[in-house]
Amino acid sequence: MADKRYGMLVDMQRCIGCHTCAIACKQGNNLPNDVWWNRVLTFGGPAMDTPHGSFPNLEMKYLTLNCQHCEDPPCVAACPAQATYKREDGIVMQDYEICLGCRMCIMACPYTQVRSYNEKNPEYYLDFQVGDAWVEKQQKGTVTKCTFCHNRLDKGLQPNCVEVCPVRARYFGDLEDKNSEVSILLATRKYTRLLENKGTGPSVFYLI
Amino acid sequence: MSDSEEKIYSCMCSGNCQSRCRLHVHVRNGKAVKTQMAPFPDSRYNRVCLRGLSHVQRIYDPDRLKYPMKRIGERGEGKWERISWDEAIDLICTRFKSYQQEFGKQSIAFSGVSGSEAYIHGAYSSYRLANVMHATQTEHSLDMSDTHGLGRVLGTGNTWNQSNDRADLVNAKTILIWAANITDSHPHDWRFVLEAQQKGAKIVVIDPRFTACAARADQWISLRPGSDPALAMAMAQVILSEKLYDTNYLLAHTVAPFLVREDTGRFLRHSDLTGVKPEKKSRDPYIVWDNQTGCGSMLDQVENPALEGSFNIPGETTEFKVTTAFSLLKKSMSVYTPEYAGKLCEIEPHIIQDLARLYAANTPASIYNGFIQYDNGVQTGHAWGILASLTGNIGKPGASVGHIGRVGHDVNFAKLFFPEGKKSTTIPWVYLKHVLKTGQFYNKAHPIKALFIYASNVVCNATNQNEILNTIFPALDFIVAADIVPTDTTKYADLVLPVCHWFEMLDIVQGPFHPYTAISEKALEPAYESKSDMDIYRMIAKGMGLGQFFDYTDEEFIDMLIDNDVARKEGLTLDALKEKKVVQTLPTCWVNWENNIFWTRSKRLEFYVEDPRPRLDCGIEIDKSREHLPVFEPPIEAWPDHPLAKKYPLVYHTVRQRWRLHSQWFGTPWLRELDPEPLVSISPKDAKKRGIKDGDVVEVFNDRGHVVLKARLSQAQRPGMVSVPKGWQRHQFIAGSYQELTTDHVNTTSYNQCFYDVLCQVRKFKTDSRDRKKNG
Repeated sequence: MADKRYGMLVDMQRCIGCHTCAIACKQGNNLPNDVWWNRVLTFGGPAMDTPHGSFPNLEMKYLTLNCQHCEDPPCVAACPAQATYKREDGIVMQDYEICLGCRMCIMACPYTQVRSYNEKNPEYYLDFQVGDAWVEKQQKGTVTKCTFCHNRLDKGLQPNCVEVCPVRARYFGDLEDKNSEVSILLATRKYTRLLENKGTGPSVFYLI
Repeated sequence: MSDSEEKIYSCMCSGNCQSRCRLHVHVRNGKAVKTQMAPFPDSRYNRVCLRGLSHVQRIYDPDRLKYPMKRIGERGEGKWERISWDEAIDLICTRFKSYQQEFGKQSIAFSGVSGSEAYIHGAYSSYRLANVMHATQTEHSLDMSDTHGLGRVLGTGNTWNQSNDRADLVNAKTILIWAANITDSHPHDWRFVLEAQQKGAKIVVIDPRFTACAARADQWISLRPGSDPALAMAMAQVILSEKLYDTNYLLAHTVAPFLVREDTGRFLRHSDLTGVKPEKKSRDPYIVWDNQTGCGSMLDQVENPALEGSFNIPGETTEFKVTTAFSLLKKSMSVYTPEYAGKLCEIEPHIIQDLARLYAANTPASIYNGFIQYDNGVQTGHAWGILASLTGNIGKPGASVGHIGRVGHDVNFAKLFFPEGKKSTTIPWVYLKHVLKTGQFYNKAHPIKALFIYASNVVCNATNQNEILNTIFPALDFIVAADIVPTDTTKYADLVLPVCHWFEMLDIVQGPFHPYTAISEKALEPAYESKSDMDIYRMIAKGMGLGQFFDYTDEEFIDMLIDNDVARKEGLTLDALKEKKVVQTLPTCWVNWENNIFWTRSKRLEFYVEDPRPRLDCGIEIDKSREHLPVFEPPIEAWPDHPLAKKYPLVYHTVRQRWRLHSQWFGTPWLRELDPEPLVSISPKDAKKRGIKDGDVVEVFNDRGHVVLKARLSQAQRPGMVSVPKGWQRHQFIAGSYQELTTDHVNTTSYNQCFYDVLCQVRKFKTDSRDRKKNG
């Protein structure tokens, strides 16, 4: 058993769809125009902020969606160049230097739009790098996605999206450590993972 | 790049959402590269939102105003000539001097709203100059209807000092979220609501529309738009008829036992009985009915005053017919039965009954209210004050009502604003049109020739845009607009001045939604030729021969505000701010009115308003007899029996969404990627009647104007109303503007812009109406 396995929890009872996590990720990771590693979907509604049901019997929930950092990631198996790989701590990484841009990982991933392909040279609104100084430079012809802000973890910081949540709906920590906040929450709260039937074993848990 | 090359500054996001988030601004190579949530001493208050994390795109917005520009074409035509600051200041001072000489000192008006709530360079930055110039200042006329109604009961008048600290919501057992979309507009308060809910509190959201907070609440009550006062008064009726009120609280801390004279509507006082005028009005004791002796006596001498009843009390010369304030309240509320109000509000009577019982019995209870945007908001606020008075749901942990709460108690604004005393004339924005038309204010000649607009975007944010563009602006000879980026307002100015972004200047910022006072450091040099607000006033003052009032640095102005004993006692000094960046100036989870001493003349909750006055004095009398206690008046326009309702059957809301703060952040690319264009939200039922499908381009219109945009069919929308998002600029709509439809009706009690008191119709947009765009 690995010493450590990072996991992320999102409390769907708390999430208000405010998109602060999405913007924190966009800024912190200096994401190119139109690239979003963390998106906020309205769960059950046909469009953003539209509820399920009919007036006045309505329900509305939000679902934040990023790379699920699977225990058994189909993207890793599909990558012909080993550019997609899983670290010992469970983080699924994408090495831009090796990535061929074949997009097999995108096809293999059962989750929608958690990866983006930089078809052109990445474009930015500003002519200088924003966000954390250490983020890897994105390249033309490569696939990019959430890294759980691995560089921030190395410095003892939380991922950008977790740090900022205005309603404290996001948690991050070591799933192997029984005393971690995430382990305690998983032991005490009901939760679900996306597409459990695919057997990918996501490291992102949704508290319901 | 190594981290060591990064400098971090402590800055404050000083927009008018009330959250006042502390941000760390990371600077590399002289450029801001990241804004990050920065800690407060108590981490419960740490906060940031999607807008606060997008500042780098505002600072480096390619559209930023870069240098002063003088209009060379027609107003609004967009033809400009770049000029130097010297030329700009010379132009301003030459014009200002000549207007003041010819038309009087009041002929220059300064108009700011809430573009920044930092104390030196923001909304208040012009006050010092306006006062030493003896100029006119427009008052915003915003968020002041229910504020005034509740303010009458609390005695807080024109301030927003009403509620407890938002963090105190965790102590509530019942929270009524009333006319507030917290999850969009105050997301940082939502976690306190959630914590209360987790501890078992009941959360009720009262809102016509279904929102994210309605989705999370224990109960959502969708009421007819604008019927809020009827709901609040019906709750009072239930509490009164079912005797759910707190008699001890009413007798000890409200005017309930006070005796109201039938002849004057005023409280009976000792001097009425003796006929001898008191030395001081405040030393004229109130008379109550003594149950023990069976006669009227001075308040502090009666142990057991009557709560109810009418009495005849003899005075020296005449007999007074009086009734207790409580009895008058009971009588006036008696008509608002759940059945009667239920019809007005379109709510089942039993829901109103249960709501009243919950608020009165499951205590402590708080009302977290938004700003009422209908003409009848004064009644709503007044009725909330009645609910708090009846139940004692105020002045305790978890029991709170109203807006914002304590802020600025330790700041000496007078020293900064009024170096020679209050010399400017204040005119409410909604009344400005009248003053310009008549040339009169308070029955005196009051010509206004120039308008200096700062920290605001009135064309976009104030009601009845076409009236602003076609009546107000043409009546002005000279319009100056100072802003960070071009807006709907700068477009129609004669002279545009580039202002610094918040992080390019030093300032001081306080709560209200956290208990701290903080410095906002100057993290960056001003971009291009932009200048801080105060620097602009320093230059104008010098040109006007008033430079001696501005011979202070920003630090010295900050010191001027906090160089007082109250601040010193809290440890709030310039040195402390510079060293620690943040100073705690209020207790965490502070409770307002803890000692039950209110700001009214009687120091009690005056749910019966003895002497109702307009919020601002424009020399216009009001009918006081209808305002001692609230009477349900329907909205001025948005009501089914309004004559326009046949032609315009839909109520029109201009809603605040998370993507903007009023009109700020309208062009921020990251936010526009997520929210690329304005959409009118319409219920599928109303859309079907009009043959409108999701994504269709539609025209929303009434007699005042129109806006053309795509439709979003949403079940969240209550049938019979539509919502258009607030804050988009004219060029972002297919045609028109959301603000063309809103009314500039003047309510001479509240002088408040009633954004939601509007009727409209929606139709599919056809090419022939597209021609209207060419005509503006």
